[in-house]
Amino acid sequence: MSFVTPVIVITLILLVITILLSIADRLLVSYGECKITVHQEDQTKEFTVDGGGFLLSALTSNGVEITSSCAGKASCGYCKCRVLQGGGQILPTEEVFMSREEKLSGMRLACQVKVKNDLDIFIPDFLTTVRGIVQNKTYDPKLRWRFIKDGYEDVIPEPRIVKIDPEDDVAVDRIFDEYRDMPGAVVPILQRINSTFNYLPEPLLRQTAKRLDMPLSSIYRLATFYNAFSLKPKGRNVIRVCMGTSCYVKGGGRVLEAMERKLGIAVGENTEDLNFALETVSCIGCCGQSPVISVNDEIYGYFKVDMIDDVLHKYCLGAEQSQS
Amino acid sequence: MGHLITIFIAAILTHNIALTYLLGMCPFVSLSRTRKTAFGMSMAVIFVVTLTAAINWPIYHKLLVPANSQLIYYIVFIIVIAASVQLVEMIMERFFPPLQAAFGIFLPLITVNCTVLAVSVFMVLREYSYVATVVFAFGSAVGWMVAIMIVAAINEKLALIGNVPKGLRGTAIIMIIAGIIALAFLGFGGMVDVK
Repeated sequence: MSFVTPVIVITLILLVITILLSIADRLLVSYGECKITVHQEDQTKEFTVDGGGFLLSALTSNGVEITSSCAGKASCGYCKCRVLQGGGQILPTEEVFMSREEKLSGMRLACQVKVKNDLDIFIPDFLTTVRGIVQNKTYDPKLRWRFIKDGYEDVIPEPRIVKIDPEDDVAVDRIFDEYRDMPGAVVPILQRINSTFNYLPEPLLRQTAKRLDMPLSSIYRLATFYNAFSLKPKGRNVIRVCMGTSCYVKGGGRVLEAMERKLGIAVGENTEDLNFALETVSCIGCCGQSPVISVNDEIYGYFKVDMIDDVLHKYCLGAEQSQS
Repeated sequence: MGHLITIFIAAILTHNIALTYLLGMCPFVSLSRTRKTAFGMSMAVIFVVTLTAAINWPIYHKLLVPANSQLIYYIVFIIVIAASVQLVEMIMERFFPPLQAAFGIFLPLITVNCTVLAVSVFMVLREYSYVATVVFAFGSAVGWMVAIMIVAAINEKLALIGNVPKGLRGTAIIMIIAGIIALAFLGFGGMVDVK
């Protein structure tokens, strides 16, 4: 019978604590009805909730869509919204997820804001952008296989190997004719070969050495010294993502990352159909328009990740037209 | 009085709750990245540890001992700690919003901090009087604060240098720092004698 008293004691303690907490809950936590005004990109919504809870649960229970994956633990940082009025100071638990800019603009995590008075909030369109793209099909699904490999394995273009045709010999002859009597023309000749074939094929290097009466090693020295020359086949369209200071600060790294994902290749590689080559560059000289990328000789300033499709599309079409 | 000072010094230095007993490691690891959060957390720990020890002592000695039901003291302490933290949070949020914003957000994290329970259990095991318990609880929490502030300060410096090997970044390096600091604290060993 020795366990009877402990059971009674613990029941008593639990009872007292429960009563105490429920009294405190009644007296301290209720804040009456609070009106929440939600501004979104395209609409404004108003509703009233009982105060004391968190903004995130108030929003989701009233049908306002907001992203959240940790359900209010302040660990995912997705439920960002701008509290225009009545939110109070930003909490240390939120600061980790906010950039300086976001902190100044009054961005908060909805799961950390307590509803104590009337709130006026703005939900940015992180979510609606994604939905808009899916609904409006901004992407042409027919074009996507070109860049994305997932699920489309069977239509990946065959890797193309550049061969030297007899016709090309004519082109090579023409190049050498042009520079016949010009002293010190090795580099221009290599440049021409490079622009014709997109790389320096080994047989042509040997030929160049023979015709110019130079040792092959000297040609090789030049061909490996300059960044513009490549000894391996290279994509026809060279995409250069600027990693200069101002482009980097403005998100060049993210552009590069998205580009790598889109093309399925890493920096310094070529797509399998040799249509694109991806490189970084230290400065294009357009720091005012950062982030900048350049494709061949064309420069795209104020670049955004969602412009990638359009830009790549342009050069894909170009390739198709020139082939047909 | 001398006895109380001994207990206080022992709780901070020779019997430091974080470095000697390795208690309260969860917030110790996760909140020791910057001195600011470490300070907020340790303030909350000082407050809650002292408060709960002061509440738990009378509950143990005036309720559990007379009712001859000491065997449930673990459960009772846990319940009392959880409830009192909850209550304190409600009161703070209602009447002292600036205080709540400063360290109130750490309060829910403390409910599950083993430092709080450990202090209450130690007070039973070592048979402290009421005053001694409060002093011991306060000293233990201050000791925890000393430990976490040292580690946080080292962490801030480390973040500036940034040459921690890749596999050791994050939790691992904090455990190593804590281990070395604990070794250093062993040096205080002969200073005071407390049972």
